[in-house]
Amino acid sequence: MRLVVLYTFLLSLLVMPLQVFADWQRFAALKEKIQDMTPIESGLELSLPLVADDGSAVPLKVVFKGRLAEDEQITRLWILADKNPNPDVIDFEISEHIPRIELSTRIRLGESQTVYALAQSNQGNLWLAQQEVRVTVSGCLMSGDDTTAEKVMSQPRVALPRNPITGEAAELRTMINHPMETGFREDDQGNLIPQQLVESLQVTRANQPIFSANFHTGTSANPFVAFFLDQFDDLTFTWTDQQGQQLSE
Amino acid sequence: MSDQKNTFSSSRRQLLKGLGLVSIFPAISACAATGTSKASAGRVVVIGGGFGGATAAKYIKRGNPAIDVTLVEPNKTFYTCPFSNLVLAGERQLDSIGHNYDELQQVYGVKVVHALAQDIDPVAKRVSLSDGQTLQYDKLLLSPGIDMRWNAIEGYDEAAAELAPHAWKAGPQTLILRQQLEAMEDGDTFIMSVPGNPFRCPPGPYERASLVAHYLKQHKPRSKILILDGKDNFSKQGLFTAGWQAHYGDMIEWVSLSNDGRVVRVDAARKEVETEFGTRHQGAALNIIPPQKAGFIADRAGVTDQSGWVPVNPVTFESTQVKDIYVVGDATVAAPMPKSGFAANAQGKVAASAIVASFAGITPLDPVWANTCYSLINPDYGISVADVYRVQDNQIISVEGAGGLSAADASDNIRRSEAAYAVGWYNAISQDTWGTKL
Repeated sequence: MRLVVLYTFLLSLLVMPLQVFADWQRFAALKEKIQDMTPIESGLELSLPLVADDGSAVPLKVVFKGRLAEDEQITRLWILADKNPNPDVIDFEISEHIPRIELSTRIRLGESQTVYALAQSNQGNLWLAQQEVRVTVSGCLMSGDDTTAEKVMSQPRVALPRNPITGEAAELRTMINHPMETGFREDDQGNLIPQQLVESLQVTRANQPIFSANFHTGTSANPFVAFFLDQFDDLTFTWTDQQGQQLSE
Repeated sequence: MSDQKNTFSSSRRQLLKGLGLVSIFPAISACAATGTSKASAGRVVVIGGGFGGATAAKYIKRGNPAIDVTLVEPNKTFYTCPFSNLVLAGERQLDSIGHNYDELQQVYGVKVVHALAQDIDPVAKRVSLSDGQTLQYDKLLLSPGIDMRWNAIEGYDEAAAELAPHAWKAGPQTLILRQQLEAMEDGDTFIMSVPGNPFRCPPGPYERASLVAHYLKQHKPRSKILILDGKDNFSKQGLFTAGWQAHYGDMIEWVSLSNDGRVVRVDAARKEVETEFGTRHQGAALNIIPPQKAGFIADRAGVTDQSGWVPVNPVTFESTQVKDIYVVGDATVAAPMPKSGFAANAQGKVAASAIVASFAGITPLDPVWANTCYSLINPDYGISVADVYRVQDNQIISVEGAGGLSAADASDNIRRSEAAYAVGWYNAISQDTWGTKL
């Protein structure tokens, strides 16, 4: 194993100085959110495939395991992709009713790039995580862009845990069908297809907002969000599109 | 492949022909020609006797017969995944897709050990086998294929696979699924669960659905096929969908990821599955193709990364993590090359040439690969997608404008020709990999 260790060591010498300079500081959309703060670079864990065979729906999971002060909680979380035409992918507003920060979604990556997650607490502390993803369209695979899909929301879906128990954190999944037209695509005649997005998912318990997701052009078609709750009664899920249309479940 | 004399000149000519653009051998053949072939030029152990491993073992010997090559493969007969869907459909017998190692041993001088490689010590360069032997190597080549990610789908483990087979490794699993198809009553449903990318043979599930439909249409015409998919689009989708319409009407129903197609739980005994948003489906025959990862020996060698697959240097297919271990085939991260037998065979040749070159102290040239995936909608209706790949900036890329997809409006004659080409491809690649049946 000595050789391997030596290689790793030499490699780390090469990589380290690059990391210090090439990171998030060069990424304007992230710099704007972080400003002069120093984000904590451990505690927030981002996982994506290292190689994505299909950039149109890349599974993403982000988990917070960092240390919080008393009365401190994560209230905001953003996902950003530095080489997408619009770096905003998806962001979340999180209340104290969310027992665990473990969020899953599916995102769009136009090319190989670094994906960032930034979490903010109610005390203003920031946590940053990043991962590089290589996007390839794999051989024998075709991307199925469908310009004819209806651009309205349909089929809102919510899957509660199979045997939900109050007080026990369990994951629930949500999805709504919508093509999430980015406004960057052209039709067969070369005209831009106008942007049409689902803007948000709001989750309320007894009319009190407990969780919301804001979708952007980097969110996959048919926005999917999974998150954790520990009370499952009296929930309403409301999706809102850019035209102000709403669908509830 | 008639040159069983294996003289220097004919084997070199064959080799250059076989390797196409990967012709790096003049320096080595000069050294082989000096007649020093009695002394070993190096020891190579190859683990896995599928498309990648068998090809690599043979091509190392063809590149330099003085290299000691030992192939470790537990099975005496290797059954190919390509064409196993024809076995499912009752169009072929399992025997016809079985290949042995006689020619590799008798013609090419590969030592074949039928045992399971259990562990690898990359520092001492030793492989331990299930029969108690240990093998010493200078270079190790792994072609470990895939392992199933048991329990990635709740309730789907090795025991469940006996009741709801994956049939994603050909052999006994193929026969279990065949029996389930035979036991179906007319009007019953065949359910197939397909994982998200990446997985072995991207068009495979859809060819399987086609050929199962071909069988059902003849014997159980009121039956249905339900494909529950973890993806929103799939390989050759337009061609498959049109072929299904034309031949099978509405027999095949495909449920995409965004229509709640992703299976999250399996009850193998009841032949029932549950999808992400709680829909339950029950069938008479249940085929679960689960998420996959590199074969376990890759883990033991320390060459896998967090994705469960093996990153490699694309020029040589040497592991980026452990020196002197080369990995080819489905286990590798070679995207955009697909996880296919064709790709594994091509990668096996590239790794073989890199190993031969390394023993000779010369630098391998950048490789170029081709891959064609043929799929059958029925035994007389074939479609294909072909691509050419090369290395750019130390990554494999698909060459733009090369390759292509069968035309959407091709005539029946062309479809019939493509089905014949598929058979020709199968025979040729089997012969290239394992040789004729002695």
